[in-house]
Amino acid sequence: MITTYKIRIKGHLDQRWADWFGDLTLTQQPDGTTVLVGPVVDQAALYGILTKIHNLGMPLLEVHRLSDEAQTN
Amino acid sequence: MPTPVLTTKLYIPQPRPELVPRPRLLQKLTDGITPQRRLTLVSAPAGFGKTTLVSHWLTQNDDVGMMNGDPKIHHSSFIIHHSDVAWLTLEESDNDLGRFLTYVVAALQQVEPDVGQTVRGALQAAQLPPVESLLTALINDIAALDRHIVLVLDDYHTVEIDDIHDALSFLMEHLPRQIHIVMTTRVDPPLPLSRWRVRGQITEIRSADLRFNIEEMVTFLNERMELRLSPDDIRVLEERTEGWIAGLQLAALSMQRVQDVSNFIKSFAGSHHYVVEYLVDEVLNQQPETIKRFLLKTSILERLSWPLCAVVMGEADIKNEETRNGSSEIIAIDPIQTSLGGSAQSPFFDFQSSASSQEILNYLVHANLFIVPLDNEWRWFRYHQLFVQVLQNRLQHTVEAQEIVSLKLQASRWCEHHGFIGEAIRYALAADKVDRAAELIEAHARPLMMRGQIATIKRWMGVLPPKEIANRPHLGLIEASLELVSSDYDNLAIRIEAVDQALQKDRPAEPDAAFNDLQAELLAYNAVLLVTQNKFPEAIAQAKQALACAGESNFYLQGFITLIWAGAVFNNKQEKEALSLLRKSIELSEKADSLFWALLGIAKLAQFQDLTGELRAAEMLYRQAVQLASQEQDQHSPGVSFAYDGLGQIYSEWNRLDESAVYLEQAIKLSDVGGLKIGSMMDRLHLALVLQYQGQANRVESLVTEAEKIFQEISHPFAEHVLCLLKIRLLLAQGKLAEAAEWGLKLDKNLASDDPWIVAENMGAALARIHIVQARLQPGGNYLDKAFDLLAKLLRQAESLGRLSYLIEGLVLQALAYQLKGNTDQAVSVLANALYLGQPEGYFRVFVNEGRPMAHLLRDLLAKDTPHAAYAQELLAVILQEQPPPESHPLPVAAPSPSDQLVEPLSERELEVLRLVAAGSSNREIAKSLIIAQGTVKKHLSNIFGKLNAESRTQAVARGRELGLLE
Repeated sequence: MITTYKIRIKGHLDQRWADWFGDLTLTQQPDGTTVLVGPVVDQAALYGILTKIHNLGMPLLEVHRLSDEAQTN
Repeated sequence: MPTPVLTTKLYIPQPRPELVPRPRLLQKLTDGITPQRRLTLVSAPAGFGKTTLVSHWLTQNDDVGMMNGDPKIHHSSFIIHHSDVAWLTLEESDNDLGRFLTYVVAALQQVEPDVGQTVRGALQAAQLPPVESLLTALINDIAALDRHIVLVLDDYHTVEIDDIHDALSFLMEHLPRQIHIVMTTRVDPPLPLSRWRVRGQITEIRSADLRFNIEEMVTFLNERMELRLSPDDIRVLEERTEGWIAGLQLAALSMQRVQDVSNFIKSFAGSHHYVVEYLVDEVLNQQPETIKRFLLKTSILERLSWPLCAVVMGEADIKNEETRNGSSEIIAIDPIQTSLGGSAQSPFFDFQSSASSQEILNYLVHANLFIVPLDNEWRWFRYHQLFVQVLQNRLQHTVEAQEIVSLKLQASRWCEHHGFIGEAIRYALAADKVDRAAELIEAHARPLMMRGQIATIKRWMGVLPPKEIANRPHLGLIEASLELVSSDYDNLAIRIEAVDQALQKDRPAEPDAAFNDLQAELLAYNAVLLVTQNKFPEAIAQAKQALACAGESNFYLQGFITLIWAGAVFNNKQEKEALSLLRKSIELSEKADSLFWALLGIAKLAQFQDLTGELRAAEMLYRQAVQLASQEQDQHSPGVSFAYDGLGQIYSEWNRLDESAVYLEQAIKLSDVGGLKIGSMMDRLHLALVLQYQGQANRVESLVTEAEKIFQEISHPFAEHVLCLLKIRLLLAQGKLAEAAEWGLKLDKNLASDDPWIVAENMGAALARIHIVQARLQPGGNYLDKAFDLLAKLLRQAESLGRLSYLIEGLVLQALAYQLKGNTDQAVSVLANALYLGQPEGYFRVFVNEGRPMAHLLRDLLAKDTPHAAYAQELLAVILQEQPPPESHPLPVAAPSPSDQLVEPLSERELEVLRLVAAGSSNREIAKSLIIAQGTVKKHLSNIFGKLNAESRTQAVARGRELGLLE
C-alpha cells in the first residue's frame, strides 16, 4: 500500500527542489504557499520529508492523507 | 589507543563580536541554573540563533573574575566561566550509544580530567557493558566533584536512536546537583519532558523567545550592519521574516551591496519565495564567480579545511599538496589577521579567478558568509546547516551528477590520505561508490585491528551492504577476525565457508600474490576451526599449507599463521616445536608491527612457562608484553589483557592478592574493550576467586553472574570446561561442597577421552579434589580410591611432561587423601615433597586454598623436624588468618532413613530454596535473597518438586519436613 500525501508549506518553493523531495510534485499557490503532492512509501518516508522541510526552516501548514492505493505495478 | 575523538566537536563556538545583546534571554538561562532545574531546553527550528545564544551565555563571563566554586551555595547570580563548560556538538554519525557516551566523557574530561576515567576504557568495548552501570559510575564521578559544571549537548535533534534517549533519561533522573544539562535542538526530544515540566525541573527557551523583536532588529540592522533602515522598512522585514534570525542575517547581507534598500525590501516583501532560497540566491548572485563556484562545490563537505577545499576545487592534487605547501599539515587561517583584515561592512572585494582556497576561506570567514569555525585555531569550519542545503540543491542544478560524484571522491581521497578513514568511507558512500568504501575498509581495517580498535572496525563494517561483504573475500576475512576475537566459533565457521565459496568463484587461472594471501588466511582460519574440533594433525597440515601459500614478504600473515600453527602443534603434544614456533611467530608479528598477534604470542609463551612452574620467568614474559604495548603507545590494546590476566593469576598464587586484583581488573577492562569474550569470562572468574580469598564476598556473585552471561555468548568448545573448573574452585573456596560436587559430576560426564590432554590434566586435579571432598562427606563410599587412581595418573603425566604446577597440586591432593585415609605419616611426607617443589617459585595458594585439612597437615608436619618449617608456618598463618570456610552441612543422602530415600539428593542451593519456601518467601523474595534470577528460582523449584515428588510448594515443604531436610 502506497499512500498519497498532500503537504502544504508557507512560501513559494522553486521547482528545483522537486527532486530533493523525491517523487512529490510541487505546486506554487496564489496564497503564497507551496503544495507538495505525491506517493509516500511509508511513515518513515513521510517523517523524512517532514524533517527535510523542518531543516530548511520552512513553516509547515498542513499534512493531509489523500488516498491509499494498492501497488499494482 | 583510544577511539580518536574529534576535538572540534568539543569546541565551544566563539560568538561573534558584532552580536546583538539579548539580556532577557541570558537572564533566563542564568535563572535556569538552580539545584531543582536539571535541564535547559533550547528548542527551535534552524536559524533561530540557539547555539549562538548558548555559547554567548557561557562565554560572557570569561573576563569577569572567578566563579563560585561551591555548588552548595546557590544564589541567583550564579556565574559560569567557560572553563566549567563541557560542550559537545552532536552529529548524525553519533547515533551509536558507545560513540555518544565516549564523546560525553571526552567533553566532561575537558573540564575535569578525572571524571569518567573508569568508564572510558569500557566505552571502547566492542560489546558495551550494561549501560546503567556505566552511567552510574559516571554519575558517581560527577557527584564527587566540588564544583559545578554545565554539559551542553548541541544539536540534540541529530540523535535518533532510543538507546541514547534512554541513557539521557536515566542520567536526568539521577543527575547530581553538580551538573546541569543544556540542550539545543530543532525538535523536542522524545524524553519525559512533561513530567520534568510538572516537577519544575526544566527551563525552556523556544522560538517565540528566540526570534528578534523590533528592538533587537533595530540594533542588528542599523547598528551592527549599519544599514540605516527606516522604521517602516524594519516593520516590513519583521513581517516577512517573523523575526527569524537567519532570514534577517541573510537579508542584511543581501542589502549591504544594493543601492536602493527600500526597493529591495519592497520586492522581498512582495515575493512569496521561500525566504532562505530567495536570500541565498541574492547573496550568491552578488558574489564573484570564484566565490560562488567555491561555495557550491565545497557544500558537499562535512567539514572544511583549506587543504581539503584546495583538493576538492582541483587547485592541488593530493600527492603534490605536500610539495606545494611544504607540509601536509593543515595550516590554520590566522584569526587575528583575518579579523583585522576587514570588517563586516565591506567584505566584498573583487576576486581574481586565481584566488586560492585559503584566500577564499579567509574571505568567507570575515564576510560572515554561512561559515562556522570549529576550533580556536581556525583549521576546520563547516557551513551553517540551513544554507548548506540550499547550496547543495543549487550545486545539483549547476553541474552534472558525475561531477558531484568526483567531488565527493576527491574529498574521500584527501581524507584517506590524511588518516580520516571514517570520513573517507562516508564520502565514498555518499558518492554511491560502495566499492571504494569497501576497499578503504580492506586497506585500513587490519592495522587498526592490530591496535585493538575492534569497535571502530565493527562500525565501518556496519555501514556496508551485506551483499558487498559477501562478494569480497577480503572483507569476509576481516569479519572472520572479528568473530575470532569474540570467540564466536560457530559464526567463524559460517564466515569461513562463505569466504571459501567467494574465493573459489573468483579463482583466477593464474593465482596472483593477492589471491594467494587470501587463500593463506582462509587456510589459517580452517586450522583454527580444526583445533577446536581436536583435529590437531589436520590443523597442523592446514597451517603448513597456509604458510606455503602466504607471500614471502607478508610478515603479518606469516606471524598470524605461525601463531595458529604453534597452537595446533602444542595441542598435539609437540611442546619443543610449539615453543620455537611461538618465538618465531612473535618475531614475525613484531616485524610486521602486528601488535595484537605479538602480544598474544608472548602471552602464550608465558602461559607455557606458567605451566612448567616457572612463575618468575612467566612473570617476566608477561611484563615484556605490557612493556611492548606501552612502547607502542598502546597500553590499552586488548591484546595486553592476556598478559594482565596471567600476571593476576601468578600474583594470586603468590598470595599477593591486592596486586592480583588490580591486574585482573585491568584484564577485564581490556578484554571487554576488545570484545575478547573468553577473556572477559575467565578474567571475571579469576577475579571472583581472588576476591573470595580476600574475604570480599560481596562482588563475587555479580562477577560470576556476568561471567555466566558472557559464557552464553561464546561458542568455544573449551569454554564450558573452563567455566566448570573455575566454578568448582570458587564453590570449594566458598565452602559449598555439595554444589561443587554437583559441578564435578557434570565435569566427569563431559570429560571425553579424546579431550586434549592439557585440559584433561587440569580436569584430573579438579576431579580428584571433588572425590576427596565427597570422601570427606561420605566416608563409606569408594571416592577415596577413585581419587588415588586419578592422582597417580596425574602425577605420572605431570612428572613426565615437566608440569611443576600440576605436580605440586597433585601432591597436595595426594597428601590430603592420605590424611583422610588416616595415614598421617604418608600424608606428611607427600606434603613435604610438595613444599620442597613449591618453595623456590613461591607457590602459596595451592596449599592455602585447601583450608582446615591443610592446616592440620601443616601442624603435623611442623611437629616433626622439617627443613620447610618457616615456609610451612607462613602458610599456616595465612590459613588461620583467613576466614575459615563454614563447615558444610552433610548431604542429606548421607543419612538416609530406611523407608524414605531420595532417588536424587537436593543440592545445597535447592535446600536453600526449599528452606525459604518453608519460611513463606515468594519467588521474587527468594530471587532477591539468594541474588539469582527469578527464572533460576523457578528452575530450582521444579527440580525440587521432581526430586521430592511434590506437586505444590506446600507438598514440597511437607515432604522436606518428613525427610528431615527442614527443621
